[in-house]
Amino acid sequence: MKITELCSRPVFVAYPDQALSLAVAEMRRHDVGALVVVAAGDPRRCPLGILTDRDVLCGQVRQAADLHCLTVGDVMTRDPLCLDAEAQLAEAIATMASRAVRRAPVIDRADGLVGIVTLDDLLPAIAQQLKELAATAAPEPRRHRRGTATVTQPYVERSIL
Amino acid sequence: MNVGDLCNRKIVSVSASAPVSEAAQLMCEQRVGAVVVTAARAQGAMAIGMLTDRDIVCAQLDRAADLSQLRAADIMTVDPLVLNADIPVGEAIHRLHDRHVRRAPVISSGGELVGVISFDDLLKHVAGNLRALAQLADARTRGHASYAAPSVNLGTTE
Repeated sequence: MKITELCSRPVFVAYPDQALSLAVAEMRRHDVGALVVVAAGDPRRCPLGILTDRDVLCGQVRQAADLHCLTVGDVMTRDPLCLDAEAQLAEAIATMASRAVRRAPVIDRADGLVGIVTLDDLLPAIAQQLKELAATAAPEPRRHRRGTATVTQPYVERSIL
Repeated sequence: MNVGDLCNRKIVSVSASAPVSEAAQLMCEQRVGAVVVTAARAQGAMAIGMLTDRDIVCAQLDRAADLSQLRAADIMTVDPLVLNADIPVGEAIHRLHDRHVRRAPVISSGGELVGVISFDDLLKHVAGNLRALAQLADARTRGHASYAAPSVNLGTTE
């Protein structure tokens, strides 16, 4: 399963010179925990940074300044880990784990912003795979077994994996 | 496995009367997204609310106030889901799901705050079970291979 199938779109963005309070209002309006920061006027929207609730809070603590006096660029996390839209689920998880990030912008071959993927998006994909695997291991319905009248070969246990 | 076996015993908390700036400082230092808000009772600290980074940021926006002007009790989520340490992990997952929350304070049978259980703790637990299951399947497969080996050898030598 490719990340492009799992990531959230549309993805909401902020700009480095934008007032932090406006960016927070945007996060709240769309009920998202993060915005991808891109340069104003960049048609491809290449990610420059990421802005989360925690960045907003810790940025204020670090700079001893209030939300209403700061810009997005003052507190964003720069150079975020970006995932290739064509990356497979396992590869994306390994990459995110290696950088200890729970969310990452997803980009195309031209570094253009495609979406954002979070740990919360990846878990249902794995849960779905598990559900299908569990269904595979479940006993077959009776009607499929009724025809087996004569056992001519030793019984071979079926492996589910 | 019970919630008490799994929860994080290191409780990051502030008192209800603490300024939000104190909670913010604590969250950043301890690298957590939420703190338990407590009130002193005869039997010890009691969890009366939860405060997340988002609660703080949203409150700042709503109230146009800076962090030192607000108290934890002003903006916390009141009446939090509180779990007993002796309930099974499966029940904890149900309860968090029912309340749409990602974490809950954990109390002992005597009502004492003993830890916090989070989505991450539960995910790690479930993943651990799955890993153990995969190891079981792997051991089983290797077991079959060792049974199959003699017949393969016979086939090649004959």
